Amino acid sequence: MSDIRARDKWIRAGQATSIVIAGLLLLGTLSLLIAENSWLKTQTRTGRDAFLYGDTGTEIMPLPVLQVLPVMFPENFQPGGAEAGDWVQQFGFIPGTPGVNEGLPVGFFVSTRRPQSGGPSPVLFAGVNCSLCHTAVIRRNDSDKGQVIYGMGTLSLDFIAWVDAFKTSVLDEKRMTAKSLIDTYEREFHKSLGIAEKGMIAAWLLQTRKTVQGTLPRLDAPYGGADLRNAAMMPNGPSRTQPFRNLVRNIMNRPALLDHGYCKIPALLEQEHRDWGQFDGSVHNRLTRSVLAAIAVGATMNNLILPDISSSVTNAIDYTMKLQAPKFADIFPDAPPDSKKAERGKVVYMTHCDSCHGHRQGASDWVQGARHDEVIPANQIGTDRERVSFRYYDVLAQVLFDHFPPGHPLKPRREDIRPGPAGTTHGYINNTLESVYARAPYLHNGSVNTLAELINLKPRRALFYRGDNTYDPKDVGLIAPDRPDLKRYFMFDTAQPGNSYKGHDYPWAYNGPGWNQPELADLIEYLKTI
Amino acid sequence: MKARDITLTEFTNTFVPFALLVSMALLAAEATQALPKYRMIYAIWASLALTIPSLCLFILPGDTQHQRNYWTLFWTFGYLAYLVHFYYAVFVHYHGSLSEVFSHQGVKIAGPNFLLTGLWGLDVVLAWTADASHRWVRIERVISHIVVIGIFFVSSVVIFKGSVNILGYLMTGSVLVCLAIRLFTKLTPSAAPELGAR
Repeated sequence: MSDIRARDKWIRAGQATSIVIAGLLLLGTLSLLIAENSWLKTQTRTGRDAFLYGDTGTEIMPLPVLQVLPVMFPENFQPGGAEAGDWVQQFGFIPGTPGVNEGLPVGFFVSTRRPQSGGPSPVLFAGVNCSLCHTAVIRRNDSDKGQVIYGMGTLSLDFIAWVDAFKTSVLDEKRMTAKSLIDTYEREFHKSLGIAEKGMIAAWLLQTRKTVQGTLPRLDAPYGGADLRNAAMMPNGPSRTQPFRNLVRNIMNRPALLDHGYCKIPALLEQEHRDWGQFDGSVHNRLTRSVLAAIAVGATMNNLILPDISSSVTNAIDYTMKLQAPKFADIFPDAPPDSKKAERGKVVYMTHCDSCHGHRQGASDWVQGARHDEVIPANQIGTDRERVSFRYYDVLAQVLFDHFPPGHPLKPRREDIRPGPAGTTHGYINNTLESVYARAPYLHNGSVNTLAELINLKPRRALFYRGDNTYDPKDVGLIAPDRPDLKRYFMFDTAQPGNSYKGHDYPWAYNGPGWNQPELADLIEYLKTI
Repeated sequence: MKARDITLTEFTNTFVPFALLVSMALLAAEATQALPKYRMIYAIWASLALTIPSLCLFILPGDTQHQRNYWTLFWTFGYLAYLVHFYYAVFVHYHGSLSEVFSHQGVKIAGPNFLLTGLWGLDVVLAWTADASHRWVRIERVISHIVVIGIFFVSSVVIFKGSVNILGYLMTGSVLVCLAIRLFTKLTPSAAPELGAR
């Protein structure tokens, strides 16, 4: 009997212990949920702050990971070798300011939100926002510190290559482990991470690696090392993107293998004058444009409606409405426009350019041209067709529309995305040209380096090198060498699909009928003034 | 009849799985990027796992106090886990907006889900407070079990595909086996109590 009683006693003790342990686990879990809310530190940003530092729901990786990746994987983050500079220089980011925004390059933001869901995180996450692509530095030569122009499309950023460098590193299971990341961070920055921070880094790595591995059968392995600078493998190159490739990949779950719709990063200047976005005029509503851009970089329908993220996006858009680039003469005081030539050039402009592009009136107004917002068929304008003829071009707008469930606050109106009720033309839209000097390189695919070449004052070049190019105020555009160097590594071959420099032969084709060199010389001086 | 004199063993055998499953559901989501979404998903898995024993106990013949107690506890803990799912679904995923829930899910899905939440909650309260010998309680109980089985079946077998199907098939199989046992025992001299006696 006493044996049975003793056994019962032990069983009851075991049961009580189990209840206590399970209860404590549950209590601990609930405490974690409460603690999570204290991790979240949101901030409403306005104006330039929203543009530069706002969270757009595009968190990519924990900040400590961003900080140690170049140390752990120099072959991927310094693909040109150590002599070509650090990762910021090699991928064309604009260096940040020490002590500001964690010292990160322009375009990175930090937040206490996790990627995709926007859930709270104990470790800071780093992401990229609008200013990453839409900020540029104009430099006259390599030793020039240059002038930062907010709203101008980047001249140097090789973002797609950087993303491949990141993915290649993530796939290295031997060298990138949670432990190696944490150890490297603590060694390099002499800071220790807490349990929750370490746990979050481990969880992020697990999930991110799984996601990247999951894309391999569809997208193939990302490139790394020196291949990141090889135009045959990374055909986008610096300052360009493929605006709808990621949407085809992320939303349609298709590889978009034959998509050669390369596109320069556009300027976001004086957006109040523009009705339709994208070079083909495919998106009308400004919020929809930003939402689609953010989704292409990893934001989701769920995190984009979180109040702080939503306000960051709309405030960044507001900032670009009246954002002006500095005047040409202020940027290049030693090479101001020739006023007499500019006066004559205006006549040329009004005769040959105004109906499509309109003209500047006063300091901040723009008179739209008679054919403003008209989508000109690509065959008519003669520029590269790839941007408006990639596979799924005709169905993507409907797919995007259907992607948002009915009633979702960000669901676009169907008539705001083309092809659709607002038009089905495969072509390029006539739009305004505010601060046209800050829109280099030219044509939608960035295949023409200078305004002098665009207006056919000078012959267009068929092959040159891009990277961190300097600026030529005389020809108004980029100085692109014939041979590669450490800073200009990307071979831009205009014979490759999507790279054609042909078309838009206005006012006249080079040396063609009516070609008038003095008038073109006048025209370029006028263009410097608008 | 209702739960009475719950023993430490009964409580241990129901509370421990509940605490472990709910904790795992909430913590496992930490390893994902879509935190609220996976908390919502894993919590409904936990709820379904806890509810299967109660469905079986409800259907199987016999009406011992042990059986009543276990049914009440699993039924209650299953519902508590369901409430975790409901919270993440309605208040986090759909931002507490009923119109968003209905516009996303449609009336055909959202309506039964809200019906389930209300009816199951009512039955849990009645399980602890009302005597099941009342006819109206028995009717309400049978209806609430049919609703729970039906909605879990549709969501875990018909609509969603993946790991949840394992639980869905387990529930379906368990319910069918228990019904078969009940029908079989009806043919024997010691007939089972009327369905819904608990």
